Amino acid sequence: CIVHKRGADILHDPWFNKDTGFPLTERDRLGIRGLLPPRVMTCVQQCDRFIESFRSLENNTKGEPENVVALAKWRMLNRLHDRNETLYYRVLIDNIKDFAPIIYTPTVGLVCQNYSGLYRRPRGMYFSAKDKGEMMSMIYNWPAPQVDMIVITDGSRILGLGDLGVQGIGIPIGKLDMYVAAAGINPQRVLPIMLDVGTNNEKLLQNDLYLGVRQPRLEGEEYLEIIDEFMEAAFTRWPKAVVQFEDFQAKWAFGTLERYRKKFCMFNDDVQGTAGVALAGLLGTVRAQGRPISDFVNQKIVVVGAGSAGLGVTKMAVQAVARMAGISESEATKNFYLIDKDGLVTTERTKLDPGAVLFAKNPAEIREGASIVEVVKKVRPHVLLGLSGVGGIFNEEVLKAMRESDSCKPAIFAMSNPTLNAECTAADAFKHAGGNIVFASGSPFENVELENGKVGHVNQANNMYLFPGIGLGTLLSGARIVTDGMLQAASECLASYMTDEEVQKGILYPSINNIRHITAEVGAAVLRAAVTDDIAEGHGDVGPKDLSHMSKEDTVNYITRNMWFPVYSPLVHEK
Amino acid sequence: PTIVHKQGLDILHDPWFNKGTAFTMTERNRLDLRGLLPPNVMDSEQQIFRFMTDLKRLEEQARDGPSDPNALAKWRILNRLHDRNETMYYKVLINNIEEYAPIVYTPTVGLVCQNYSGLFRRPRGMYFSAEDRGEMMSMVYNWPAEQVDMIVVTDGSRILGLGDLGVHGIGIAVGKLDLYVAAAGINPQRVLPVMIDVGTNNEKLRNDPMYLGLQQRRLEDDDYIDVIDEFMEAVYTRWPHVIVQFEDFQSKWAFKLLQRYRCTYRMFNDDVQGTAGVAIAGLLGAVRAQGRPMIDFPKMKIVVAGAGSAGIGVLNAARKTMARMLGNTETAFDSAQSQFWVVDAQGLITEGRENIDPEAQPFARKTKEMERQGLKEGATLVEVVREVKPDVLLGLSAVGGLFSKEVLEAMKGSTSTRPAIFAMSNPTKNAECTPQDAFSILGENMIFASGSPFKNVEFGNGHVGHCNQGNNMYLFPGIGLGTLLSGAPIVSDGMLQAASECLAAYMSEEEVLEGIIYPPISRIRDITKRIAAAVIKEAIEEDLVEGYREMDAREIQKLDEEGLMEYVENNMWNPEYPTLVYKDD
Repeated sequence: CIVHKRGADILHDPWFNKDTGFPLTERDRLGIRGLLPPRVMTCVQQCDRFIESFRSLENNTKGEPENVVALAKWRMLNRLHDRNETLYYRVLIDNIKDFAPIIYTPTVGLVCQNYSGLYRRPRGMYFSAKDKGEMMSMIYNWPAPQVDMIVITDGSRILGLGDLGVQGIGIPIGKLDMYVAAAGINPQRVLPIMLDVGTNNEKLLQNDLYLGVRQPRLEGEEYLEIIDEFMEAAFTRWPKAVVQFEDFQAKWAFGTLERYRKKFCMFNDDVQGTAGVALAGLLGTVRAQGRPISDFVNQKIVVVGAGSAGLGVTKMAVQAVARMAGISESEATKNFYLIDKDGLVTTERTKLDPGAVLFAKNPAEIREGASIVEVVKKVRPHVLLGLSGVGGIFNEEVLKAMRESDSCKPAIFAMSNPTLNAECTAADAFKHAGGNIVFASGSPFENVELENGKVGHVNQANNMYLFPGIGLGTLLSGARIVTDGMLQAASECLASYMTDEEVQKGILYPSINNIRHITAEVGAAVLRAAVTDDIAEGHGDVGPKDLSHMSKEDTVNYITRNMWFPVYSPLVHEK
Repeated sequence: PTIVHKQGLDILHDPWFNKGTAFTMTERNRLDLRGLLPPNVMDSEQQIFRFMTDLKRLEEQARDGPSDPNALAKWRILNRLHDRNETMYYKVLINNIEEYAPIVYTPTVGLVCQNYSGLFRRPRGMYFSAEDRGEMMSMVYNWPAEQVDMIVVTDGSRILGLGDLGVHGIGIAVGKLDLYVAAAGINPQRVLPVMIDVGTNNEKLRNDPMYLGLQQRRLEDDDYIDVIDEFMEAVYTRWPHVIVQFEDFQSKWAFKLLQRYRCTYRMFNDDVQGTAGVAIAGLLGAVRAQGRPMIDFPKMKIVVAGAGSAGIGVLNAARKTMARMLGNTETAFDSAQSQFWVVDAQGLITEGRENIDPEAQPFARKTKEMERQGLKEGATLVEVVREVKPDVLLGLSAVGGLFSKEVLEAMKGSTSTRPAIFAMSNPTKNAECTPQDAFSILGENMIFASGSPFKNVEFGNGHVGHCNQGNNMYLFPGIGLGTLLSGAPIVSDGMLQAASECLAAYMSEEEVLEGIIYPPISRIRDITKRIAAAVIKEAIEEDLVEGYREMDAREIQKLDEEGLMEYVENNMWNPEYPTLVYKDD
């Protein structure tokens, strides 16, 4: 690995720093001999030392409020990230189950809310409204010559916490940590981006210590000009980068997706990723009923929530039905019932969100604005899918109504994040809807002990199952854009991952401990879909012909070989 | 402006140059930082406010449970700031020096060294180990600073009263230099903490898989001296005018190295000379507290408990000070010597002592003289105090609680109108007694001083028994700064004595009579300025001045009292953000 710096500058750079892991020859070669304690430690010893500190923190903070503990853990990990990135990812990968909830959902929400006090070192880049006209030159301030993965947010709708402005940078950072850990994207080739167009959060605007632009959020054409300029700059410098949009408010999430999806290699994980994981779960519920995935076309689904996530999931599910049944999308909407804050969406609804028009029902079937419980009783759905952001909306009455489902294993999906926004808890779902249900959520819950001694499994529909594979597969295929086919291939791959036995038990998603293997499989599925869609252009030395000749197994091996793993690379100085 | 030879992220990663969110927009553009920071530009007051707010909140929450003293949590938080932004770190330290000096140095620094294995995050300073023999002359160029003014070096062999902590003792050198920067205004980019790792005799550390140093026994004899010689040669080759201060070397090496290098290099040993200096200042203050002039110091009778490097250092310095006051004749030295009774672990040291430590030999009492006083070889401390009736009981023994109730009762027999109890050992648990014990037995009319911090004692009548902490911090910054600015090639005894006398004279008459013999730490920069000026003045009188940078010897010699003070003040670094300008190498 060639580095263009030496001495203390290497120790200060988390990309190259190995701390006490630098071997003696390297210390001499790089001019750092004497700048470190003389003992040379192995990476394993360094990991052990960090974990010892971490467990010590855990033990000593028992009984403290949960938020305080979570933030203390995050701070400890963040400090390691600032010092030694290789060791950070090694620790993260080796302890992914414990640490994923710290660096991403749910702790990342707390991080963004408390960012003003937590901020220590910058990470990534900030493009603000004040940088208009300068972005094409600013982009070259980033030191990495090659960037593979960018996650961008404008901070307008962070998880379920609303507009957090520049503090939303924690989201791209946490997301990219997962890309590195799960997908093996080289951490030197990832770039978190905060697009600071101001904030409408009055409290932040009044805060003297707020770190962002203190003006109301840009709207309309002014807003689009900023995003356009950023996209142009990023793809000019890094034509092969994949850009993932995250936590934009609904109108801009859809607006930018439609604007860029055919022009740039980009996707929106809130719309497409969330939908993909939910779709995988829905397909999994079909398997849980002992039926083949193709039976999905007959499932009746009530969707609560018509925001970007709700509409994204529903649209993707409809597309899957249409493709499986060989019918049009409008025909495929027959079994979907969309409910927003005003109740069931019908053709009588005025001021209907354009994205929801397709799902409007005939009011003769069920009345306009019917409540959730009314719709559930009438439809007897196989799945109750919550993406509303309203905590507890699946109350006892609603859950009990699901006992009348036409499915032998009805599914309750309480997908909203963070935890307090979940539509119901796992315990309530199994208690009121019965032990035979299949439960999934967006936030983590504990499995539920049922009365008959069995376990009610909680399936956390973390986007983490798909976005790393989507990103990695897209990258290694060299696809010009991210197609619907690629996204659906990812979902189907995830839905097929579990064994029949596991699925029958109500386990829809695999253990997070297997995340790298899952990602390799999903990445391979995405790559093969890109080849099928004839948009793969190849990556590095591997051209499109090579890709088209690969078998599925070859593809998985190819993906696996290209996944970065944190080992210390020998460093050689070049001026 | 400050010239930097790096741009972009490398500047943000470098605590010497990083300003975090305080980089101005023009500076961000010029240094390729634009986009690498959140867009709101903060001033340093906002940064400090944010840091202090977070620090106060974290002080409780950041503790690793009840077993982790709050002090360590504070140290960790400050250390992280130091790693990110050094200018702001020193601003916070200087603005809160009274609260944070005990965190970055004594007593918390002892805890830091004991827990260093778990606390280590980023290296600071340089490590020269036994395995680096033959390489030190080239290694020294790995340090990025072109100019180094001040080095503090330790071999970790006797950290405070905690014994051999090996490479973990680096925390001492780091903490000491923090105070050089805060108190003396030495530029932090020109300080260098050094750990000379010759192994450790601490078996527990050697067997600890997490120990960061050489896992072998400590070098001895000529092998050891070869390593130190090579180190000294290397640093003075690269930085001919640097001051090297030795810290926390075990007794035998503390004295030997001081004798070996003091006439060759610009160096001093703060444990021997600095501790002695502060103690001398306290003793002189005790004279003033009795309503007598400092010139009466040679009449004081002093019982010294402890004959380690600190004890012997104080004894030698006190003897020299007395002798100087008496005219520096041979008779003066003999007379001065007779004012001290030294008690070590085996009791009173007399000429009858077998295998007497050569360093303690000059202070051995004559056997016949002691017989007349009713004291024999090895007499206990309480026996000595009873018979001598000293003006001062001076503890440098590192034995906690040595000044027992019986010993303190015996001090009631002192011939002084206002006896002094100096319990100087560090850390706190090693102090020879507490002020509560001393004042409760001896009453209001005494002077108390200690090496570790204690709270003042409230008497029932509204009066206060003042605790005077004899922190080396009063002197070493001024000694270092004065030596630096004078350009003196060595640190002479005269310069050290001038520093002590300056400190002793600092307090007003009124304060001294109240029992306050050391000034408040909050005035540390003013104290240091005066002491530095006194050191320079003495260097002038001894014709040792060689000049500093643009100020040559003649310019310095012309300065009057006021001019000296101004010269010192102008050379004290303040933590302000300099404008940064990039220049390609």
